[in-house]
Amino acid sequence: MEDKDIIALYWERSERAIEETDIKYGKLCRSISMGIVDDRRDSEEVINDSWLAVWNTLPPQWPKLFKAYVCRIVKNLSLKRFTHNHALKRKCVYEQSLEELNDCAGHGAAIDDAVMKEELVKTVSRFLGDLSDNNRDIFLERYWFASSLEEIAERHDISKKTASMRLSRIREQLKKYLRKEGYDL
Amino acid sequence: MTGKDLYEAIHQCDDEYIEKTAERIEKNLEKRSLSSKGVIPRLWRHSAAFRTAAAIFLCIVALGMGVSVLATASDAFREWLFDMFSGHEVTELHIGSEGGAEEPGDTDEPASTKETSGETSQPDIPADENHRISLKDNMLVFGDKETVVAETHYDEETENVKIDRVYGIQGNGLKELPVYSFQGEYDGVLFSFEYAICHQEIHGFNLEGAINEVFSYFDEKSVYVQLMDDGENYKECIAKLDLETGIMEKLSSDKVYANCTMSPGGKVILCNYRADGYWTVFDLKEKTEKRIEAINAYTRGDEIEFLDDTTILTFGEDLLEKTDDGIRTQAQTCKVDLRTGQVLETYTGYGEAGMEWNSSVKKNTLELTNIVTGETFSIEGADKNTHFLGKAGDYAMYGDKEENNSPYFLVNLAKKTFMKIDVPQEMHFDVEMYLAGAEKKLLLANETEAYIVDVSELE
Repeated sequence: MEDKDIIALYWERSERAIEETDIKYGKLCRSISMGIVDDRRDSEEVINDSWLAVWNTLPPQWPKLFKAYVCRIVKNLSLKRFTHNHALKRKCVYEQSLEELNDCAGHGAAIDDAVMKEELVKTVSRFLGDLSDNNRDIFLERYWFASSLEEIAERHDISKKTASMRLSRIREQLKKYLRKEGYDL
Repeated sequence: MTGKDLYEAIHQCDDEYIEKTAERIEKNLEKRSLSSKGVIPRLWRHSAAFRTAAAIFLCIVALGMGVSVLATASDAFREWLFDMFSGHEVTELHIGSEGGAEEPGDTDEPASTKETSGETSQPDIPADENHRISLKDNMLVFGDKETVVAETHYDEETENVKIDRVYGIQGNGLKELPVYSFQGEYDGVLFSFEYAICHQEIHGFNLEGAINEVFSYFDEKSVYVQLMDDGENYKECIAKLDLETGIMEKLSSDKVYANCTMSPGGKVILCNYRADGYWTVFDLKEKTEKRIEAINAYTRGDEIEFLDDTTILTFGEDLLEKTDDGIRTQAQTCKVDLRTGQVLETYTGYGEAGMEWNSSVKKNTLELTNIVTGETFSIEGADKNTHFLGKAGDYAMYGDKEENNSPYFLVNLAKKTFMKIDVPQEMHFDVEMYLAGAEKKLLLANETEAYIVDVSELE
């Protein structure tokens, strides 16, 4: 079913909307959620909460890119669940990703200023725009979709080591880019 | 900025990027559900690796293919190589078994070695029982004035990589270099290292104990090191070691808590006191140290290029420009006189290759610009993904390792000559290239053969 038709079902308040969303994006969303919470039961609860969140926001929203909209909701709720469970869980992809990005970001203090945060978002977007499609996919799979190295390697038909090396090179490029843009790393 | 700031910034990137990446994930999820085993069987492949004279690890995953398939792959590789590099001297490296046992049909030594040096036959690179090249899982290629190839292994006990054997590019082949060891004491704390000498450089490795670094400059009998004692009273110093007598001469105080970079002629060492936010220049003859404010405290060693022992290129202060979107920063490069600490010249931009040469691709043209001299030259036939890969000596390589239909360009920046290297798509991820800039050679290998190509003359 096309995204616009699914959104129309939400606007009509048809319960089929959730069914169709789950059929079309359930797998994708579960893979995002598992990468962060790393627990099947928690992941299912996050997915259910996500469908409820989408139901509650459509209408009045009519997202231009429905897939990205749904993915963001799933990710945000997964992160909340992770924070809640953090002390009890073993290291998951989300934690590994943060560690990897810590090396990239340097050892400065967290950014408090809203304007500077906005500027960083724009800088990162420009950097992503400069990457090749392949490299951008690998980078986002790891740091947005919280995919494991095994998953990334399988999707791109490369070895796990190659995936790790490519991510390392892209992080190095990002670090150089941020320095060039004036960030003190 | 923290990693979390970066993570959150990535999280807010454009929806279009999320959609495109999600598509790929969905396709893969579909494929997995179609496979009867739940997982699509994968072919292991060799990862592509272009190596420069800087030290980078290469890992190869062995292919489980039959001999006939290897032979076919081998013929195709050889044909491509000789065709690609026709007009250049190409030497096949002699592959033999370890310990010098002869393989049936092998000659005693490569013809080129017999003609030039008269040295006795030992395999250039030992092969395993399957006649596979031992450019195996862990190889290091490094060296500034000379290129050295090292075989390594991972030591579980010390959790360190250990170098086992070291080869130098000599003539048209790789020859194993003798490895020596040195032991000493830093104020009663033991240290040791192994080393190999290749013409004008010394390569120290397998460092143990109170030693941080062995600098590559070598004056026939002495070597410079940074020693470190991380015991109760932490200290670091720069010292000179006489390799013949074993005598150690401490040159600095015990407070050189810095990352150090040596000048090519062995006259000075630049020290980055990162925690305190400054660089100094240490004069090895006068044993004096002076702050250099013109070098940004957070500049890394590979962001400094020595033009000679007294002059460097490094990042300068960023220029701030007002644009419609806000304020943009423009990087600058400066030439610094280490004797006075003064900035001699400032240039707009920065060069990826040796801090001097910048590259960009416009339509299908790779444009190279020297930000210091203003020289430019163009190379046709690039694609949008072509970018700087690495540099050794006067040579630089451009291309895209990740795309299997993207050409490479080997460029002699001093002469402004170049050569386009088209690797067939089916071979792209199997061919490894090592740039030996000092010797003006390319070392190329797939899993069964290795060749050295003389690239002293490019078109």
